[in-house]
Amino acid sequence: MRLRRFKESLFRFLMIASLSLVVTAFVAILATIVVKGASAMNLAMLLETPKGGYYLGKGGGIANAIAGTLYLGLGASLLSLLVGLPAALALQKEYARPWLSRFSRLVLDILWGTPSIVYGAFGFVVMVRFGIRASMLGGILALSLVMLPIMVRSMGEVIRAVPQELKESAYALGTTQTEVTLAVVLRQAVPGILTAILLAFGRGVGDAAALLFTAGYTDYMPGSLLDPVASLPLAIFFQIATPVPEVQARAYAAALILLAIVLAINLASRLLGRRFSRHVIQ
Amino acid sequence: MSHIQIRNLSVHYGDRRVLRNITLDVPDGQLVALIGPSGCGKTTFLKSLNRLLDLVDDTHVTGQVLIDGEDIYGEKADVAALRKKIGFLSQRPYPLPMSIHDNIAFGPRIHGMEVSVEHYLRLAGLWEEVQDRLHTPASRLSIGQQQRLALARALAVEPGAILADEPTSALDPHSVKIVENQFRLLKRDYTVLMVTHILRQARRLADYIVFFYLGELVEHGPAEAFFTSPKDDRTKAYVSGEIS
Repeated sequence: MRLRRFKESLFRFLMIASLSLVVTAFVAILATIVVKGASAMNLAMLLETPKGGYYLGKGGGIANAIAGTLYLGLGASLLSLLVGLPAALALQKEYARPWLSRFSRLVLDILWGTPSIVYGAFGFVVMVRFGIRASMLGGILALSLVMLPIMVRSMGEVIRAVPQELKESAYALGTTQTEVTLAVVLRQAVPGILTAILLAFGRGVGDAAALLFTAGYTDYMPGSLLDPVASLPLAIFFQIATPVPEVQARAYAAALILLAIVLAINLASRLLGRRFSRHVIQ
Repeated sequence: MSHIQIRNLSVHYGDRRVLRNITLDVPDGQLVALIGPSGCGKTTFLKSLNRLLDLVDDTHVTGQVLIDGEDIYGEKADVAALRKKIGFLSQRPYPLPMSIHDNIAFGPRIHGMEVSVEHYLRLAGLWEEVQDRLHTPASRLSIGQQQRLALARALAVEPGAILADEPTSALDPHSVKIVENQFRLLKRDYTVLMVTHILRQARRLADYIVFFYLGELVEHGPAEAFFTSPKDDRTKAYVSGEIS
């Protein structure tokens, strides 16, 4: 009996210790970013583009990278959603045979785990082949490759979780597969679909490697789809690599802004999710 | 009202045979109770009548189900049109993820029919309780109300028969009473097939009884005769409570 009680407390201790470790790590990361970035954070960072000598510690900001990241993130999310949602719906058992959907999920899991530099390199090869230079379009395409497996895979799970009995109730009225998918499955899955978009967006906007060769970098505000575009992850990467302490501090400020963007999108999608989930059947 | 005839119907799940050679003429305009112990194939039988079995993996159906003379497993069968003719109520109600009003209007709209939402909500005995909140989500109704909503939704596409799979088993006693009363009214205009494993419910409601045991149709007949003078030994054992 004493041994069992000991096991019980040991197990409890291990669980709480692991949880504390995770929370501590997260708090430490956040604290580092805030402490190191606070000195560089000001309105100019948010609203101005880099001025002459910016990378040596002179004036300006990273509005170009903030805008670039928003364009890239939203563009790539939209593109992956357009392709990903139908793909996720097609994984339902009404459309795909079991072996096909198992195989697709395996492939998607591998793609999900593929380092984003591989997507960047692939995008670069394709762009060189077609004579396209580093541009917003290239960045959006590379990022959507990063996002797509995340979206399809997570949406697929949400869609699979729609109760079979719910679909049966709709089929029993004499509806077709398409009618059930559009009117019932999608509505039921909307909150989960929003979460999937968010997950992909979060991964996408934080990615530097996929953008390195495809989107390039510029000190100007984003122009056309065919011009290079700045992004926050690359802004962090370039600034932290300089020997100037003021510029390094700006890298942390940029990280803070990136975190804030992800947090804002997260909150927004939660609010939207709540709005759309009023009809969801428990 | 639909005419339902079953000829030599067998159903396999993979290698396992769950229904064996069922032949039955369902009497029109009556409430027919399908009774038998758990796992005897009642639900499978019910779902074979509107081809909801199609949605279960690895099912194999042989034999014929004739609805208004047409074999629903025939090559030319139109499954959507068939399901419109035969309403279905599941054990646990699943409202569609939309408002109360739209739950009723959804089916008719798809079939291009005019619909009076009020009429069907009244038929299911739900109108009084929901008339001032038709546009709120159906998910907020109590489970008893959800089952009556499911009934109204099924009736709204104007089927000739209703299949009900233990429609009261998830409900509280008060809702059970309301739903049973609605079924008593419905059997005037519809053929109703109701699966139940509650013998007393079958006695209370049914005009005709079909008894299944281990995938076989053992005995069927008018309710009174069935309960007072069962013929088969298995029926006798079941009716007397020796097996359940």
